[in-house]
Amino acid sequence: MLNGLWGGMIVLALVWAAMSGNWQQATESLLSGGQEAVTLTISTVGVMAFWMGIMELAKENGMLEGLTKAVQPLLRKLFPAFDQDHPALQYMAVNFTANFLGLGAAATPAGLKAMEAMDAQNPHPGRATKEMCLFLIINMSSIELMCMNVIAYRAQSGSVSPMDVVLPTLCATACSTLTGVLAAQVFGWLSERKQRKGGR
Amino acid sequence: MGMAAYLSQMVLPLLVFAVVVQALLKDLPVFSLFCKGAKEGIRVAFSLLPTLIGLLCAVGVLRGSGFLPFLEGLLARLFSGTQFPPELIGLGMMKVVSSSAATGLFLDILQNIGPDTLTGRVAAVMMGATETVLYTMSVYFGKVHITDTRYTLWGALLANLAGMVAAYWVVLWFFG
Repeated sequence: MLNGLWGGMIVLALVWAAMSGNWQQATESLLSGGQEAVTLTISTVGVMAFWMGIMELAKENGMLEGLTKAVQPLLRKLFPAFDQDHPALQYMAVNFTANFLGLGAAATPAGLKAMEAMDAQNPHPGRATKEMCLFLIINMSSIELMCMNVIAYRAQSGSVSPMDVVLPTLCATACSTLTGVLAAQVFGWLSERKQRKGGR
Repeated sequence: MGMAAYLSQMVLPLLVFAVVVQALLKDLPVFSLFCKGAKEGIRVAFSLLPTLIGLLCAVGVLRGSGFLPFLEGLLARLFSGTQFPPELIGLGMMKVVSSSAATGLFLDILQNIGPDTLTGRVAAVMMGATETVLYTMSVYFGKVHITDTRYTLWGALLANLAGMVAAYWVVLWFFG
């Protein structure tokens, strides 16, 4: 995905620069982009490392596990097709919790395991089940509390209070998750109705 | 609204306090565990550096060549009825395709418009409220060899759109 996109961006920009004669500015940008990236990484790595250090503690002291347990009742309501201790539900809980805390690296492996656990009961292999659609829609609109890299970038670019987007992010992601859940229910219902009609 | 900023500022200190106290109560070697996690964090941050260099060069040259200002002017005219800043439309569209390319645009906004402006804040919230739908779907469905993804794409795009609009309204509401 990124290969075509990056190549396209570079080619487009340089053709545009050639057409408009902005050679000097294009050259300057090419030379300074890398420096900017290095400065940015160095000035944000402290925040990222600090957060990962704290999260390591949260993993070891049982708080992540506690949070995972706390979301399970809600998951049971959203996915009534699975028994209370179905592995898919547990992996989903880990996935959502990790997304909530901005730990993308921990979220993906658990999410993939959830998909495998759901696919093991899939009556039509190759076709997504209702539960898979709902899980992925929630995953891709997930409620987020700590978007640590965004906060670090804000701090680096001189924000007076880099943290003040935390609450707004929580609200906005709650809206997107709610919309996602509603959309999944409506689409799921429509798709089942169409199937029933087709079967007749 | 001062309250929102105040509450937001409490989140990190309280979280850190709770996590450390809980770890101390469990008699864990807090500092060595912290260092282990931090080391991993450093590794992750630097492993992203090549991507960041490539993308900041690409976005920089797009701006320097005059293409990005042109595109923003075009979007501004298209959406002149709404008050939505044009940079944010570009950011939202990019985020659906690629997270790192969107990060490049986000940094461009921080630098050229500023982190504490309306656009800068909405952009920050949008970064959290949207997801790289196409990439995520291909990873998750690819893992279990599913080709018929049914309504996942539309559901996710709808949720992302709601996230973008909500980001704008929530920031307006919180910071006026």
